[in-house]
Amino acid sequence: MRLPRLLALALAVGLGPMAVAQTTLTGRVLDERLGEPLPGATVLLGETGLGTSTGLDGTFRLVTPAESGTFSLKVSYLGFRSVERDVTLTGASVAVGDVRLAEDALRTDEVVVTGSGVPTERRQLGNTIASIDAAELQTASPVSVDQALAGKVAGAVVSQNSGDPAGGISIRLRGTGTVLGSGDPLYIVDGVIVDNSSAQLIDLGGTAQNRLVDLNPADIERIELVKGAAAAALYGSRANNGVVQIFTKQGRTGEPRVTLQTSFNTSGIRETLAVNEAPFNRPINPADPDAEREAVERFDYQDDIFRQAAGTEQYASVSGGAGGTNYFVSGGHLVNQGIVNGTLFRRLNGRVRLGQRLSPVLRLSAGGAFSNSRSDDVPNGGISASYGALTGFIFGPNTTDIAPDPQTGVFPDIGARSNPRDVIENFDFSQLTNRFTGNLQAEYTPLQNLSVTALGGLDTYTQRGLAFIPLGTTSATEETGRSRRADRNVTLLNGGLTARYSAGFGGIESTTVAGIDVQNERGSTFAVDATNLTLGLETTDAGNTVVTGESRFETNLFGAFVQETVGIQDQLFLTAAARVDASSVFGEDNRWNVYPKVSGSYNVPGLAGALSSVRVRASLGQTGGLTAIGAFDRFNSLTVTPYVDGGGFVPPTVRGNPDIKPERQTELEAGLDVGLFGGRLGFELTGYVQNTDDLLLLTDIAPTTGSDRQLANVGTLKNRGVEVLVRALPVSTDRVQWQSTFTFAANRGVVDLNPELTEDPDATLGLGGFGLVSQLDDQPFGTFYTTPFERDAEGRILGIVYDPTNCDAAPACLALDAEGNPITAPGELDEDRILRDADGNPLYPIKGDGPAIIGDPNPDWTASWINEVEVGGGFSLRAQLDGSFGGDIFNFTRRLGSLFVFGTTEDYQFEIDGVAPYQYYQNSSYTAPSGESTAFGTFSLFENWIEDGSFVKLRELSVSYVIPGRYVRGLGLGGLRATLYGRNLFSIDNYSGYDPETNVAGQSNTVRGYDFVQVPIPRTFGLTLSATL
Amino acid sequence: MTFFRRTLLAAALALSATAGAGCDFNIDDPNAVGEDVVYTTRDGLVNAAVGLQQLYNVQALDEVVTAPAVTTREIAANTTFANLLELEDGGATLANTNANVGNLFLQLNRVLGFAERIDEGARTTEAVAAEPDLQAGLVALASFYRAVAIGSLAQNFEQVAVETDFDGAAVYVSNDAAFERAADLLEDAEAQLATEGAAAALPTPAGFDLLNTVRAYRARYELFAGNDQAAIDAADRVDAGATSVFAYSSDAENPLWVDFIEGTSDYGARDDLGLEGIDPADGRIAFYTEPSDALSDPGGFPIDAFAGFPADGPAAPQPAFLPGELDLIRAEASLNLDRPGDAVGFINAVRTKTAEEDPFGVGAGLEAYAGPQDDAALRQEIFLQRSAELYLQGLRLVDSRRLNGQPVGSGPFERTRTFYPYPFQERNANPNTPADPAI
Repeated sequence: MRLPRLLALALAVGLGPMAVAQTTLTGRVLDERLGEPLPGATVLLGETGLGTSTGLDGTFRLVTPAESGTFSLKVSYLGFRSVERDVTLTGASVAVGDVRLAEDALRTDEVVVTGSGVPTERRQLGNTIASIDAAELQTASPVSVDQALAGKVAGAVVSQNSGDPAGGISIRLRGTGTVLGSGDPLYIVDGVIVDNSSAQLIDLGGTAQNRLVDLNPADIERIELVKGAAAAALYGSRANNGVVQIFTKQGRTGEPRVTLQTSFNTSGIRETLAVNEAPFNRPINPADPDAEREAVERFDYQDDIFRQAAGTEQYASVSGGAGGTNYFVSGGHLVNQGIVNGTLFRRLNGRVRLGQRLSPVLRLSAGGAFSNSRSDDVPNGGISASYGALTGFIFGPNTTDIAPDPQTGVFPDIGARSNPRDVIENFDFSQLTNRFTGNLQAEYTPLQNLSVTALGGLDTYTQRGLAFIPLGTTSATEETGRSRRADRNVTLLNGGLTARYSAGFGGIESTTVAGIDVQNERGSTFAVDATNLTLGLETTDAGNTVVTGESRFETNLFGAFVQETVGIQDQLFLTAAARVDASSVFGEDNRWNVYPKVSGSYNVPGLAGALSSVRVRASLGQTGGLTAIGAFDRFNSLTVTPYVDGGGFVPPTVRGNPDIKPERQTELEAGLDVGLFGGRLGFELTGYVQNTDDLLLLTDIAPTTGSDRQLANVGTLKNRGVEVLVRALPVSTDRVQWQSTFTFAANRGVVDLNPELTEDPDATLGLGGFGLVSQLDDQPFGTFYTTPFERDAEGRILGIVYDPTNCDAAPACLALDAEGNPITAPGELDEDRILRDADGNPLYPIKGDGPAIIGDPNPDWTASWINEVEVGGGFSLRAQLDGSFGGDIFNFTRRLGSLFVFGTTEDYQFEIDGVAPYQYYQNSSYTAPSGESTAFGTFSLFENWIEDGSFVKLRELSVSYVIPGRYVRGLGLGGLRATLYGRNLFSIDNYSGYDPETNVAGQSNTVRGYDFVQVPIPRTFGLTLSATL
Repeated sequence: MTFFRRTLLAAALALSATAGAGCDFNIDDPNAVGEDVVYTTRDGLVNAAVGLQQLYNVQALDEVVTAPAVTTREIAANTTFANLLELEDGGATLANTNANVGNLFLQLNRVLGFAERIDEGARTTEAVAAEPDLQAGLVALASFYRAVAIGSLAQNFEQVAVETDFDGAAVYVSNDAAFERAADLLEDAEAQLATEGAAAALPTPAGFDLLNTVRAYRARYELFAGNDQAAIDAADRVDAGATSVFAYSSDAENPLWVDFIEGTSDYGARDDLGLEGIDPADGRIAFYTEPSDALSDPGGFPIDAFAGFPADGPAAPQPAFLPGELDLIRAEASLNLDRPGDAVGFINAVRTKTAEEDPFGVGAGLEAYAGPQDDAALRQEIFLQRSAELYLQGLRLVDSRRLNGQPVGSGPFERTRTFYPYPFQERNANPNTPADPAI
C-alpha cells in the first residue's frame, strides 16, 4: 500500500507551522429545566475540529491556537438541543459564560458517527439512526449488551434464545438480510470490528452463547444502530444486516471520578409446565374397558431441574483527566447462577482507555479490554443431541423417582432419555473464553477544516468447550461415555484512515470524507472427541475411540470510500457516497464491488406555533453481505476422507463457486420527523423497501455434472416495513419529569427462490428443524412447512381440535357428549376412515394434504413502551413493556409430552382421565391404505402444535433513589444511588409452553420460534447500589 | 518533535502492514486441496485413487444395492419413511423426487465424474507419465470405476449419460450402448493392466484384485450388452479361484453393514430371499439370512434378519464379484448362443456347489437341475440361480428385465418398476434428460 506512506509524509509536513500563541475559552453548561450542571457535554469550536467536554461541575476549558476571528462554538449533549454561540478569538482568554440546553425528545441535534464516517448531526442525515445511551441500557443490570437493547430500538427484534445465564441472543434489524448466513448485524466497538459468532463447540442441545457476552454493558457510554443498506453503504460488504456501533466510556478532564457498583439478583422460572399427574399409565380402552391398567406414581422432574438462582456483580471504574491526558479504568466481576441446577456464568472484565493530546493538532487514544468468561453448562434443548436434562423430563415417562439409589448412588434409568438429575450431577459441560480487544487511534488536525483519523483494532479470543459424560450414565446414546474438548481461536484485525475536509461559501457548507479500511480475520477450531471411555478419567485421554477435527480460516477485506455532504442554508443536506470493496471470499472475477448511496434531509425553516421542527428525509443505498460465504467457498477442492489404509481425496457433493459474489442489498428509506411544543413531543416515521439480490442459496445442479449442489447467487430477499418512534415529555417541571417513548415496527420479509432457474414450480429449500422448516418461493422467510389440518371450503378445521388447557373456548368442549359426559367411546370409522361420533361429527382433526405452510415464526409487528418518571431529582421509576405480535411458535415440547410412550404432560393426563378422546394424540388403530401413517392422530398432525407466540412482557421495571448527600458523606461517599429492578417480570401471552421468546435452534438464522425444551428466560429481581467517591 | 515523528512513522508502518495484509486476496485453503493440485500432481492423483475407492465402495455401493433390492422384493421396507414405502409401492407411485433413487443416481454420477477427472489427470500429468506402471494402474482403476458407475446406472435407468458434463448438458445413450461403453472401458482397463507392476503400483487395500475384478465385470457387462461370446471369453480369463473384495475398516464402514446390520435396520430380508420356487434346502438362504417370524411393517411381508457378508461387522469385506456369477454368465451366454447343454452344465456347477467349495462360503448344495430343458425354463432357472447366488449384489432388477423372470406388478414376487424415473434435480438442470419410462 502506498497510501499510508503518503499519509505519513503529509502528516510530517503538516506538523511544520506550529502555533505559538493560544486562546483559552471557558464556560459552563447547564440543564435549562433543572438549572443543574451537565457533565460530559460536548463543546466544539467551529470547523477547527477542536473540542472538549465539560467536567463534573459542567465547566469547560478549551485551548485553541491563536486564530483571530469569529467562530461558532457549539455545545451539545445527548437528549438536549444543541446551542451555538459566536465567539471572537482575541489571543487572550474568553469567558463564554453559562450555556443552557433544553431537552429535545427527537434528539435532532445529536451527533452520531455511524453510517457517515465522521461526527454528523442527526438533522443532516437522510436516514434514521438509533442511539441509546448508558442510562437507558443499564437500569436493569443486563448481562450483555444485546440483552440490554431489547425493546429500545424501533425495527430491532432482539430475541433471547435461551434462558441460560449466558444464553444466546439474536438481533434482527429490519428482518434478516440473508438466508444461509448469520442474520446478526456487524458489531463495532470503539472502531474495532468485533466477533459475535455463536460457535457450538459442545452440543448443548441446540443453543449456544454469542460472543458479545464477553463485553461488560457497564463500560458502555452509547450505542448507535443503522439498520440497512440505505444508511450503511460506507460499511460495504459486511453491512446487509445493519451495523451496531458501541462506544465505551472515556475519561473527562477533571478530578478522578470513582464509581463503585454492587448488585445482587435472584432469578426463577416464571412458570413450569403442567405435568401428567394421573395415577394410571394409560387411558381406559373403550374397546376393552375392563382391562386392568397399571397404577403408577408420577413425578414432576421440573422440581429437580429448576431452582431459585442467585447472582452478584461488582463493578468499579475510575476516570478523569488533566493536562491533555484523560483516562478511564474499570473492572467488573459477575457471577450469575442459572435457573437450571448446575448452571453458572462468571465473567471478569477489565478495561483501560487513555487519551493524550500530543499537540494542539494531534491526539492519540488507546484502549484495551480483557475478559474471562466461564460458564458451567447443562445440556437441555432437544434439537441437537438429546441427552439434556429438560429433554429427559419431556421424554419421561414421569413414572420413576429420579433420585439416586441411596446405597449405590446409581441414578435409575427413566425410559427414553437421560435421567435429568444424572445429567445435572454427572455430566460436566463448560465453556471458557479469554478475550482481548484493543484499539489505537490518532487524530490529526493540521488545518482548521481538515482532520485525519488513523485507527487500528484487534479482537482476539480463545474459546474452549469441554463436554464430559462419564461411563455408564443413563444417557441412551452415550453409554460408553464421551469426553470432548474443542478450542476455537479467532483474531480480527482492522485498520483504517479517514480524512475529513470541510469548506463553506455563502450559506453552502461542504463536507468531504474519504477513507480506507482493511480487515483481516483468521482463526481455527480444533476438537477432540473421545468415546468408549476408560473409567475414572475426564480428559480426552480416557477415550479408546478418538476422533479429531481441525479447520482453519482466513479472510481479507479491503475497502475505500468517499462521501460528499452539501448543506444549503443549514436546511437542506444532500449526501452522495460510494464505497469500493474487495474481499478474499469472493470469486476472483467478482472480487471488487461498489456500493453507492445518496440521501437528502430537508429541515423546514421558519416554523411557528406548536410545530417546532419538521424534517423530511430519504436515503437510497447499497451494501453487501458475506456472512453466507465461507472463507474458501470460491474454490473447488477435495477433502481427505478416511479409507482402509489411510485417507484419500474425495470431491465434496457441494461444488465450489469461483464466481461467488456478495449478496447485494438495495434499500430505499424515507421518513418524516416532527417535533412539537418546543421539542416536548416528537414523532419519527420511517418506511423502507429493502431488496437483497444475489441472495446465496444452495442450488441443486444436475447430478450428471458429478456434483449435487452449489452455493450460488440466485435468489432475492425482500423486506418491507414501517417504523414509528414517539417520544414525549408529558410532564416536565423542575420537580417532576415524565418521559415516555413508544416504538412500533412492522416488517414483512419474503424470499424469491428464483424458481425460473430450476424450472421447478414447487421449489422448496429445507432449512432444518427436523425437516419441518422450509423456504418456499415467494413466501415469508423460514416457515413451518409440514402436515396441515384438513379444512373445509370456508377454511374451518374439520374435526374437533381439542385443547383441554383451553376448555372455555368452543369447540374444545365439544368433546363432551350431550349430557356433558366426556366422550370416551371411539365412535365409528367411516368409509374415509375418519372417526366420527353418533351425529357424524369427526372426533379428531383430519390430516390435510401436505406439506403446507402451517406457521410463520416472523412477528408481524413489534412494539415497546418505555416510561420514566423522575421526582425531585432523587427518585425515578422506569418501566418498559415489550410486545411482539403475530409470530408463530412450533411447540415441539408439548407435542412430545402428549404422546402415550412419553405422556409427561397434562395433555396426556386429560386422555387418561377420559376428558380428551381416547387415542386423540396417537390413534394406533388407524392404518392408511398406503400404510403411510400408522401414527394417525394429532401427534403427527403438526399444525396442531403451532401456537400464537404473541406476547407483551414487562421487560424492565426499576425504581431508583439517590440517597441525599448528607446521609452518605459520613461514609466517605460523594453520592449513593439504590436501584431496585426486575426483568421479565410477567408475560401476557396465550402460549402454553415455557416462554414464547426463546428458540431451541439458538442463533440460527433460519430456524426460529422452535420450542424443544430450551431453558426459558427467568424472572429476575435485583438490587444495585451505585456509589461515587 | 522526533517523538511525534517516530510515533507517526510507527503508526504509518503499522497501518501499511495491516493494509498490506488486507490486500492479499489469494489465501489458500488449508483445509482442503484444490483440484488444480489433485489432478495435476502424482501424489494428488494417488490420493484421489484412494478417495475414488472410498467414494464407490463406502458411499455408493449401498445405493446400488438397496433401491433395486426393494423394487425387486429382495428386501422389504420396515419403517414408515415415505421414500421407502413409495419405492416399495413402485409403479406410478414412485415420484421423481424419491430420495433413494435420487441418491443412487447422484452417487454413481459422482463416482463417474471423479473417475473421469482421475483418468484425465493420470494421462496428462508428466510426473505420472514418468512412472508407466503407476500411470497404467491409475488409468485402469479410473476406467474400472467409470465402467462400474455406467453399468450400475444402466442396471437401473433406461438411458445413461456415459460421460459427465460440468456445464450440465450431459448426453444420454441407450441402455445397451451404456453397457457397451462400460465393457469398452474395462477392455481398456484390462489392457492397461498387462504389466504386472501396474496393479501393484496402485494404493489398493489387500484383498482387492483389480485385474480379475475388471475381467469379471467385463464379463457381466458384455453379457448385459448382448455380446455373449465376449462375455464367456472374459469370464474364462478370470483366474481360477481368484477372489476380490472391497475392503472396509472402522473408519470406512461397510455401508451394507450400516444399512442392514447396525442398530435397527429400515429393511428386512425377505423370507426365501424373496424368491418364489426356491428350494427351501438351498444353502444360500441360510447363508444370506437368519430365520425370523417377523412381518415387515407396514408392508406385511414375511421377513428374516440379515446375515451374509456384512454381518461380520463394520470392517467386513464385501466381495467385488462372486465366483458363482461367472458360471451363471457362462450359462446364460451359452443359452443365448444356442448351447443349452452347456448352459445346464454351468447351472449345475452353481446348483451343486457346496459352501465349502466356494471361497466366500456361498453354496446352494442342491441336486443337479432336473427341470425342463426348453429356453424359457432354463432362463427362469438362471434367473433363480442368479437371484439366490447374487443376493443383494444390486443385480436382480437388470436380471429380471433380461431373463423375464419377474413380471412388473405389485405382487409379493413381482418387481414394482422396470426402470426408475429420472430425478427432477436432473431434469430441472439438464435439457438432455430423456423422458421418463412408463414404468
